[in-house]
Amino acid sequence: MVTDIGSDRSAEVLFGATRRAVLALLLGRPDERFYLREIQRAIGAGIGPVQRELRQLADAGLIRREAHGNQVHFSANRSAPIFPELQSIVQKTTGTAEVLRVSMAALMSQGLVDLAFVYGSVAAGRQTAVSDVDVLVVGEASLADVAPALKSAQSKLGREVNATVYSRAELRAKVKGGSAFLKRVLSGPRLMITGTDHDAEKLAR
Amino acid sequence: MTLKSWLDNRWITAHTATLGEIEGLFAVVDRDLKDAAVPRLSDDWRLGIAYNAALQLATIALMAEGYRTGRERHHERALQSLAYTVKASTRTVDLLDLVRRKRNQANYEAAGATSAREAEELYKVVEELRSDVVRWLKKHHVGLCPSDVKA
Repeated sequence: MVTDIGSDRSAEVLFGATRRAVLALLLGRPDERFYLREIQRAIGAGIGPVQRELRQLADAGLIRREAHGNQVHFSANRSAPIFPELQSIVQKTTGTAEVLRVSMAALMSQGLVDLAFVYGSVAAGRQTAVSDVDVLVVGEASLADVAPALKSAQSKLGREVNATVYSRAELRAKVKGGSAFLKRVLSGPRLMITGTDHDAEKLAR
Repeated sequence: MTLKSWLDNRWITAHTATLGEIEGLFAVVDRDLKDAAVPRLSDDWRLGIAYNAALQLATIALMAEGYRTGRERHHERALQSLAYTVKASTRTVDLLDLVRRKRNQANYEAAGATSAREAEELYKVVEELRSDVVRWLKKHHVGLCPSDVKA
């Protein structure tokens, strides 16, 4: 049974469950190398299906396969011509944004979060092994409301997750007051967790 | 998990606290809570100062139980120990751990990454935590509770 960390239908249509989980792991942590057993343990799939996916992805040049003595490592292939596009699709559907969407689903259904997105190096696809996931949350949720959801996402993503929580009114006031942080965050690359790019752009004005 | 198992894992070391040490730490907590309430300070600083007060409160409780943290992951473990010392709720410990991560960002990477609401929320949580730690000390370690400290 594969651990399905996402529920986005577009990801299900594009990739089978094992491929989705393999891509989410390797492209979500593109500067790390994994052994076959590590991948298998992380995604909870059978060894056969994981080997098959890794072989096909490596044959297509989408991931790297490196042999060191008896050991074989697998990692994302940043040189693949479609790496940026593939990473973006995975991040939006099965990867970071979807993990956070699932973790924050209860807050969203309670109406405590109007808008939330990932910004910074992960949203720009420039993350390294030590990059944190930075999240901006707009709504009525408190930090204490958001903390358990982020803790859950953090353990799935294998990265620390930071958040800044604003009410809509305070965010607007700080944007008007010239907050350099908010200007940068609202005009930079985003991975939407909930809400639309248009909502975020409206807040920047 | 218990603090004894933390000791066995060498996450914490044995320590015999003195009343003077605890008094010194409470002075830091009270200075920080006073400064964290100053409205003209930036939200980043107010959050950072209130966080420091929380860290000292965790250290007080851990020391009263006979331990102190090692160097590795010192902040993280001190905050998590609140669940075992004063039986802080998971909600409080998770909030403090989120602020620990956030504080690194606000201090070193991104000025302005704290909202006023976050700074105020943390301040209230740490004020409550201070009361909880004082009540707990009076009940379990009265000899280590400074006489002039009120809950």
